Amino acid sequence: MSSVGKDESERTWCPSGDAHAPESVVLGVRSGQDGRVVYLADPVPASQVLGAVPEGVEPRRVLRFASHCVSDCVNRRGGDCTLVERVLSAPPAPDTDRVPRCHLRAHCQWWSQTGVAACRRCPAIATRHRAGDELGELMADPSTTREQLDAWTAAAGS
Amino acid sequence: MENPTRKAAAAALLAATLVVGGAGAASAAAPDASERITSLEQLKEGIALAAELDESAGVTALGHDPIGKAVES
Repeated sequence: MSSVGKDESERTWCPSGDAHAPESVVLGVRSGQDGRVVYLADPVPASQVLGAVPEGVEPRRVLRFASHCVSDCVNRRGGDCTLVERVLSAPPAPDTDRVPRCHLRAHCQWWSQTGVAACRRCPAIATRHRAGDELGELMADPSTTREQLDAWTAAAGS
Repeated sequence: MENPTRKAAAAALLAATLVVGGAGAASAAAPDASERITSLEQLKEGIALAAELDESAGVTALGHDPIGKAVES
């Protein structure tokens, strides 16, 4: 399941990960007004907070979790994450000089792959998107191409 | 005997406890995205608020659910 040959220190983490993986930790919670992620200063095991999510609410709609980047993820292509490639098609946050003060960065697959460009978009990411969110649906689909995303963004802006 | 390196690596990422926040942790206002959450209480308040707002925003799309969906703000 994990990358063959990688020991614990080499494993990267997915910043939009599985809430129920044994190693899962909370990365942040979506803030009220615009849904941007507010990050935790220190990681908290997911098991400690899942009970605080109201019944009927999918945890990944209100929280971002970090868990191991795994080889059997649908977004995985070789050693790369294709999801972050699609995420980069979105415009960065307005305050592009600032990046989240994040506890995961040194171990983050997205950061290791794309650098701070991913960090500038990270706060806007929700692991589970809402119905009717066309861009979210496109980004979530592993078969979506960068050209399709660019075309959608261009059409939305016109 | 437990490998100290592995233990240190795990501990570095998985904090078992949090420093409990001081004054102001009981605020019901949504946390500022520029701030960081430093207590479990703050986190739980944020979860409650986010869930309340999420509920009012409608239901999620069901279907295939690969780890790592994304949405633009």
